[in-house]
Amino acid sequence: MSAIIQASELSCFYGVILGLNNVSFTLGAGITGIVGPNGAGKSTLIKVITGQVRPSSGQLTVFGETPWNNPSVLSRIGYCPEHEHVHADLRPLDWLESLALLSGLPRGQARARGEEVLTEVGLATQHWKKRIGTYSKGMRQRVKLAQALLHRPRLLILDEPMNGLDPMGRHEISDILRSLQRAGTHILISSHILDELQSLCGAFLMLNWGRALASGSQAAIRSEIQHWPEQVVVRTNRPEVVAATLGQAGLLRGYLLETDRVLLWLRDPAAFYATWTTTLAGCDADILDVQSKSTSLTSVFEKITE
Amino acid sequence: MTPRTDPASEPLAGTFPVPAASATPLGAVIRAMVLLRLRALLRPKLFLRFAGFAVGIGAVTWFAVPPANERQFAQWSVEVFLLRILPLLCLVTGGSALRDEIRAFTIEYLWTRPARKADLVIGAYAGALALTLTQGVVYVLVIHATSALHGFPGAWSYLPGSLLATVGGVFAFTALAHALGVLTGKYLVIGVLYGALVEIGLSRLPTRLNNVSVTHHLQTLIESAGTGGEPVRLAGLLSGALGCALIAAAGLAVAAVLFTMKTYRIGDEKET
Repeated sequence: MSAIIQASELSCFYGVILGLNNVSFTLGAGITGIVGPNGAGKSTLIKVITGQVRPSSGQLTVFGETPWNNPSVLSRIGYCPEHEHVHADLRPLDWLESLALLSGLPRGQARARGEEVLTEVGLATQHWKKRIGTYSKGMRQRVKLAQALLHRPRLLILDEPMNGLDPMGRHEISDILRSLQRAGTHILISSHILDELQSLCGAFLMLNWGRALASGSQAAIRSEIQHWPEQVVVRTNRPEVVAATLGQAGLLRGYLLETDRVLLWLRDPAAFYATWTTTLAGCDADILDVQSKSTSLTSVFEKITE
Repeated sequence: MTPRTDPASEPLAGTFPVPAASATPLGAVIRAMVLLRLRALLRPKLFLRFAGFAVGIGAVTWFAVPPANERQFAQWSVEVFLLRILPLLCLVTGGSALRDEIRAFTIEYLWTRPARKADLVIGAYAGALALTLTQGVVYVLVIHATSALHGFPGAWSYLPGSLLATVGGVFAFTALAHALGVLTGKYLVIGVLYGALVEIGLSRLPTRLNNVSVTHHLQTLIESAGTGGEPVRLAGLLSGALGCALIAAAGLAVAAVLFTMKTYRIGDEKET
């Protein structure tokens, strides 16, 4: 894997507050998701990658260079922050023109490039003359994404880009990101909406409490944790009977009963999948559906943080 | 999606040779920052405030300064306006040049660009300078025009000295305020304390220590500008201008070093 971002024993503290704690990982090409709950260190990591925060110890490189006070790295990075704050008094093209100049675009091209990226992110031209402060949340997200694309970055970094977007908006942003990836842009994206990352990202970095729990493709992460208990949901008319039968067969670590289904924590997934049909065949319950929860990214993350 | 032909955005494989990427030139940074500042501020609300302040300055000149009273005119135009009101204007505008961006979270859009942080400081200073200089010159013209209309034609003889002092004062005070704004969110309080200690206290000491105060250099500029029929003293003008320029350069240098070294935690004003 060609490394785009490499971290080695990276730590970052704000006074006594822990941001990142001895984190090491390598991120490669394509779309990579940074996953973790609030306080996991996602935003701190993104700030280190974008050169906004200097690591307390350890090292992080982007394209082989440290990003802190390094215009050479920043010229190849586009950054879309999490918060909604923008220059509300400005019109989008005025704002983008200034940012394009700051990114080193020639004076004559700055405004034209602003128009190009606004079109790329799907902001309708009738909104271009309004001040950004009057925009809806979704429109602001588009303008924020546009400013990150101004200088055609090789690495696009998005901090919670789906926040506040309706399903249609999320779908459109996902499509834009896929198009960018096809055009050769590498993308690093953090989000709480894990299921959307699952369909979008080829690889993940999982953080919790400032530590890197796992990194790599979802399949690779799952293979690393295959010895951990699986979760299975059985939809049935008699959840208590199903739980009791499987429990007596020694297949369960635990269960949670609901009205029409039971959530099972398996003691040995291999043994369960080999015997569950015969075990449940003799019990007095209709089995409507059996589904493993563990295929979802959310489930993988839940297991890792257990 | 618009087809992209930029070679830098071609799909990458294997290695990442470092392109000849360099920092955005200072001229482009200044242009961008001035455009950003002016476009954000030049709205009807600002013009109204600007005009209201000019009318207020004119009204004070008309009603509070007796006609043809040279001593009182000098007190008002120099002691009060140039040495008290103008520095406060510079403190508010210069101090907020980057601090407003930090408070509003929008600084992230600036410092993740391939521009040197020191250049961003200079660009923000240029934006603040454009505003304070315009205001300062307009207010000085209002004071002198009002006084002349109010029966003191000699007010015009003070104009060259006042304009020189305005320009020198705006350059120096705005730079100092800019440095305070980069240093702390409490730049207004620190600025007023600095004014009391250095600009009012040290400037009056009859020692070389008064060279650190802008006030001392502004007084030198005014006294050397040929006010009231006195001969113009070139050495005094150069000394005053050089003093203001050196203080402005020192302020900018401090601001640039601080901004380059500091880490700001956006929005919550906590810094390291």
